[in-house]
Amino acid sequence: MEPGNDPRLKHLLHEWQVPNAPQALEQRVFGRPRPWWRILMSSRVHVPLPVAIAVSVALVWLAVVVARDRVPALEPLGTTHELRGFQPVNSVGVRIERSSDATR
Amino acid sequence: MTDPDFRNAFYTHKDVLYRFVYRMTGSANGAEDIVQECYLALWRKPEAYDPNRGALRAFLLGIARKLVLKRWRDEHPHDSLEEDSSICGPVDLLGQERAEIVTRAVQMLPPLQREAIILAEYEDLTLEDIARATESALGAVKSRLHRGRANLRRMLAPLLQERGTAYGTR
Repeated sequence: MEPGNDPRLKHLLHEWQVPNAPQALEQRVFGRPRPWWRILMSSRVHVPLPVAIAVSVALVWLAVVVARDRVPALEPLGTTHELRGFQPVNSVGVRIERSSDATR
Repeated sequence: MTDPDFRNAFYTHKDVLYRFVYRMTGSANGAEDIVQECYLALWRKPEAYDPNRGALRAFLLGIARKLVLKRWRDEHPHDSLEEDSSICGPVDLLGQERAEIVTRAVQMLPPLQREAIILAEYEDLTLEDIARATESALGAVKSRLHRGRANLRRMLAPLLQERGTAYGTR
């Protein structure tokens, strides 16, 4: 017995019994490795909070940008005219024709 | 390390490793994962074990301990492993079974005290073997055991003081 040991305490501690290694452990060590999806499902990644916030903000921003680019451009109202090559006339000769009704 | 040597190492020490990790983590799945990793480490790098430096059991317990503490640090990044000043009060006994109370009390110990108590009280390792497994000085192990037992006596005081309990008759 090591110095400082206490039989009453030791006896009480042994009320907590745990099982021996299960058969599954033997299969895991000597058998086939766990399938990739089980490894994936049981894996955990620890990410510092600032990094998690930064990644979340970046994802939201990316989603907004992508959604905005997908909105189709509004068709302009009415028709548009191409003014390229337009030349004003040198002189404007205006002839006024009166209709017969206007002389009455 | 040959295949028969490896199998012998597995069957000889798997239960000690599993019980140690189970008591340290409180998780059966976690214990399986960590014990598997221990044997994987031994298989991949058998030359890391030097028989002149101690028994294989202490070497494997040392690997298991490192994996347990790594996991604990990941889950408790702001907590200290040692907590010299940690003084645990009596546990709440109402509505709990004795084994459940003992489980809670041991798991409430700071990790370094907990591992020393588990290896000494449950696995009956000598102080020298505990020091080897935990890569600690003998004095540090004695100190952790002393503080751990003192904490357990405080936490389990109501059970230790119960009258009519036939302690020591097991």
